[in-house]
Amino acid sequence: MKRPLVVVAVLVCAGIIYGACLRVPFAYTYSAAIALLCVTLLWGEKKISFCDAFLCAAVFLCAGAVARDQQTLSSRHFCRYLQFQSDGYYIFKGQVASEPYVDASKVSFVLSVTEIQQDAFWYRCCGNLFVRLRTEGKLEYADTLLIKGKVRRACDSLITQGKDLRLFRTPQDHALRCTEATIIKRRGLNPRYSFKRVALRFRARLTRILCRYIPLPAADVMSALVLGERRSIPLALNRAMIKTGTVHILVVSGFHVGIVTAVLIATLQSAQVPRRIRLFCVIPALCFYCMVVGCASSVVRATVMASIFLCAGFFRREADVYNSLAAAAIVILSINPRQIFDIGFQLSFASVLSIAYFYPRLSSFLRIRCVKPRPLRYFLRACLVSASAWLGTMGLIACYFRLFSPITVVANLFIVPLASLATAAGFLVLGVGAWCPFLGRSFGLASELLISLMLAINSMFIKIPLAYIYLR
Amino acid sequence: MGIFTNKERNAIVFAAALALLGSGLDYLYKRVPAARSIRLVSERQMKIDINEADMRTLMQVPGIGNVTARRILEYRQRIGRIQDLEELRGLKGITPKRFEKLQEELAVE
Repeated sequence: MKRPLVVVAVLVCAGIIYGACLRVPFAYTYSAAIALLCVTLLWGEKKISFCDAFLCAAVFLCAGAVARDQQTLSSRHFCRYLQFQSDGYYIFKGQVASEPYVDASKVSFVLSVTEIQQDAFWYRCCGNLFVRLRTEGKLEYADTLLIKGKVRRACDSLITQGKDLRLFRTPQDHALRCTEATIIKRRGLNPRYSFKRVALRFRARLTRILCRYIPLPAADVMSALVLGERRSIPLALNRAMIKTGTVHILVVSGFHVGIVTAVLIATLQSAQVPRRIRLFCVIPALCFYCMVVGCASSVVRATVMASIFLCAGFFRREADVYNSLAAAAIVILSINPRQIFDIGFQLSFASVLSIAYFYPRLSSFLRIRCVKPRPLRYFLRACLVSASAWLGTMGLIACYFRLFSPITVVANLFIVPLASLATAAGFLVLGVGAWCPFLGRSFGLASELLISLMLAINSMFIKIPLAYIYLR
Repeated sequence: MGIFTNKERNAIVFAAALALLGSGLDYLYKRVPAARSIRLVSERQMKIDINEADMRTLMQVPGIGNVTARRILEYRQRIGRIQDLEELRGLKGITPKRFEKLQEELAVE
């Protein structure tokens, strides 16, 4: 089979949807998966076609069983100790598991609960709880806290800034929040989470560099473009970008990973580092960049794909875009199967898959290669990439945002090149700004101009009649 | 064979062009301070137009919940169009402190 990982990824996705959406008891799915695996092992060498069919079914059911298991609360989950009818306070001990989000006087974060106090006894437990409280001191990722507060079911209008949805594995703890909370005691940083803390501190430092050289609000947009820090993006701007279908530029993705890879390879190349060692230096650096920008689905996908492409070069084999995309999907879903329901995951994979599928076909159908003038050829290629991505994501955008944007293809033609230049300029600000303030300022002002131009073009497109249509 | 490869040349040209553009802007801002105030994107464009926002958009604004969003929409329906953000002060549930917070996110186009 040419693309085995694609088949596995499709089966895993289907299995997760089956396990999470259909209410089939875990025991049935689990025993069926074991039975099918046994059949595959017994008939493995005799009837190959049957064996493959059984193996596919086994993988599907296996993913279903894992997804079903993920939905079931652990016996040690803190929810087991809660009594929702009582209005009493609970005391939790745990670590800050997400980067705290400061909003005016309150701070929001996800607490990874390790212990809960009930009737003067402490019980060891697990689970994540969304907390929002007033505090004077500055909280940090991996801070160990003792928190007293009430637990409520979260309503839709809850401000979810600071709530990293990827940390919640079950619908039960996802729906809870801690209110009227106060910190009883702060017990310092947990050393177990040091790597991610270093990445987050590094991101905070980089954000400060951007804010030093780029005036606001362009600095906020640049933080999103380069560091994936979207929390400071004004709501209006976010909605404006959604309307023109260009919101994807605010998400760190393959383009950013590509720039980081190219810069690292060029630097190591100029330092005469041997090719094999170069690859082994680049992959950990990409993983660190992935941590710095917050491990969003799009950046994890891009990192996995880039690593596969680099390894393919190392082993002198040709990397297949579909197989590497499938590998990225399997990696992300094995960390948290609920990611499949995340809109970011769906849009990221749909757009890449769509570009990989439609672009070569459209390109050969329209004979773009035969176009002689080079600028026109590049322009047509850009149009086709934009149109291919639009074809893949149109349905999802209509479904989630109730929005149909015919302007998307045209808007992307203007905004994506500007965003690419702005992103490259942002990386220059980060690279140079730390040690050369004069150049940092020059790059910062140029970046501001590019971002302003990009936003002005975006708001111009919104004003065009029928640029976007809300669906009922 | 030249000193630089094509890719390296492109990267250096890009960085130099960007540095020149930035220096030019810096010089312009120093010589003509009024040029700084000419912005392609105004602060107002970074805010939500209260006359355009639907229920879902309003509820995403920090400080506006289900009830306040409904009150704003009812008020807008009643008077046709909100002329000034100050009009929101009259609505029940919008305290001076909350109004200050809303001013950061909302605007009247």
